[in-house]
Amino acid sequence: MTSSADPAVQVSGLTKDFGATRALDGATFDVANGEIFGLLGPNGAGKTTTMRILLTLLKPTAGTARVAGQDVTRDPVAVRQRVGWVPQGHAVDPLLTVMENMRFMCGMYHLAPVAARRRAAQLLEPAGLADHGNKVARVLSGGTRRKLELAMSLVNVPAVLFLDEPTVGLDIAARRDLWTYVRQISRQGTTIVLTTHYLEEADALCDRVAIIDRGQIQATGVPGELKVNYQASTLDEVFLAATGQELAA
Amino acid sequence: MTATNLWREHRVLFGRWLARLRREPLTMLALLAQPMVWLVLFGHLFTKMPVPGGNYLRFMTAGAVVMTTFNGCLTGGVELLFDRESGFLVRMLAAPASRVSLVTSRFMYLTVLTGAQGLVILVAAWMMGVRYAAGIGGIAACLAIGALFGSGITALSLALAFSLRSHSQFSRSPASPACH
Ligand SMILES: Nc1ncnc2c1ncn2[C@@H]1O[C@H](COP(=O)(O)OP(=O)(O)OP(=O)(O)O)[C@@H](O)[C@H]1O
Ligand SMILES: [Mg+2]
Repeated sequence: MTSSADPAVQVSGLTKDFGATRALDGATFDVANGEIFGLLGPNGAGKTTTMRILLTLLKPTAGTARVAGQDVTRDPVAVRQRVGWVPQGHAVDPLLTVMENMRFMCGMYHLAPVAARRRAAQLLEPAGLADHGNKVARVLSGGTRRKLELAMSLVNVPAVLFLDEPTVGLDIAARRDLWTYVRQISRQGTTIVLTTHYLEEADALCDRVAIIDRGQIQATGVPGELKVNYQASTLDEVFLAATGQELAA
Repeated sequence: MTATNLWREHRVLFGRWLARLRREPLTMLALLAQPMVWLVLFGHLFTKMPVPGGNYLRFMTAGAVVMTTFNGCLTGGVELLFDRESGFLVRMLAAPASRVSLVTSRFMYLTVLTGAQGLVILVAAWMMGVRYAAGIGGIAACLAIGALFGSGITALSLALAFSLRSHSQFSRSPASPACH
């Protein structure tokens, strides 16, 4: 069923209601294989909700979504085996060491202990964490901790990696360091879907972006094209135009 | 969901609970100190107390084992609540591991933990002069019954933990020892 020509993510008419709140309202978009795709939108736009549906953590009210060739509602376990996720909050156990965190996650993805040890070592190296293996995660700096979270999300060699605001709270050096790591992951063939509030980040990192507001996709395209279409010089201006907000003079 | 996969999940989940306990040595100390204080303090305070069997220390050893199991298991749900608040729980749910393993690994961990505590209490009491009429078999039965009782309390605690919204609500619930 899964052919490499299929898009990595196919979202069609995705709608999610929380009681009376409509968090997602017929969102439709595709993410091609190997792409770095950015979901941009103001607070409460529905970015995290979209991700949680794609990760099979929430059931959509209406619409369909396929990730890595699998339907999220019909075969959630198959999806979980093929995706990785760095959530908006924290995803490490602060009391465990870097290596223990890695091996824990490997076990949750059913790797045998020996394979887990090998995979952990393989992943810590490019993350620049090889020398931190025995450190308790609590003492890591924000940037290092984020890289650990990324490494942990790669234990199953995911086809699609979801990053929810990966650089929030990082200083500019740590942010650029993380971009380098994300590009490196992308070069190995992993499709990446990320959300961000930093439009400069989307510009630097993403092959394509979608602008989402009040649960609806307002625009999709290559950052450069969007700037031309909206006659804007920066992605910030595109964003404000697409979400109907005004630039404060 | 093969047996191998279940085993691998349980292995790391159980290992995680143990590693967390190791990183907080004060918790471990407190877990053991409390029943010891009971035995030493109350055991000597109430030596004249008329109890069935005639020996107060002997009478209260059984109680200390039960109370330790009860306390350990009742607070056992809290850790999963921490995980929910920190967002780690939902991260675990995004993995293909079975949801049931999260709960069963917690049961296993609490059974082993309270079993070990019970054994320490029984050994300590023995050193203080308590002799067990039922012998080794009786001690094994005591620990097995403790594990069953503990499982029930753990189930209650987990149910409470997941039906209440926040940690503060959990400690305020009338069933929790924190409100004494
Ligand atoms: N579990 C929930 N119960 C009720 N409402 C929810 C729930 N999760 C999200 N919402 C609502 O759905 C809408 C979209 O939320 P979502 O978290 O997807 O936004 P977001 O784009 O990720 O925002 P942010 O940039 O702040 O992370 C918001 O109005 C939010 O209040
Ligand atoms: Mg969000």
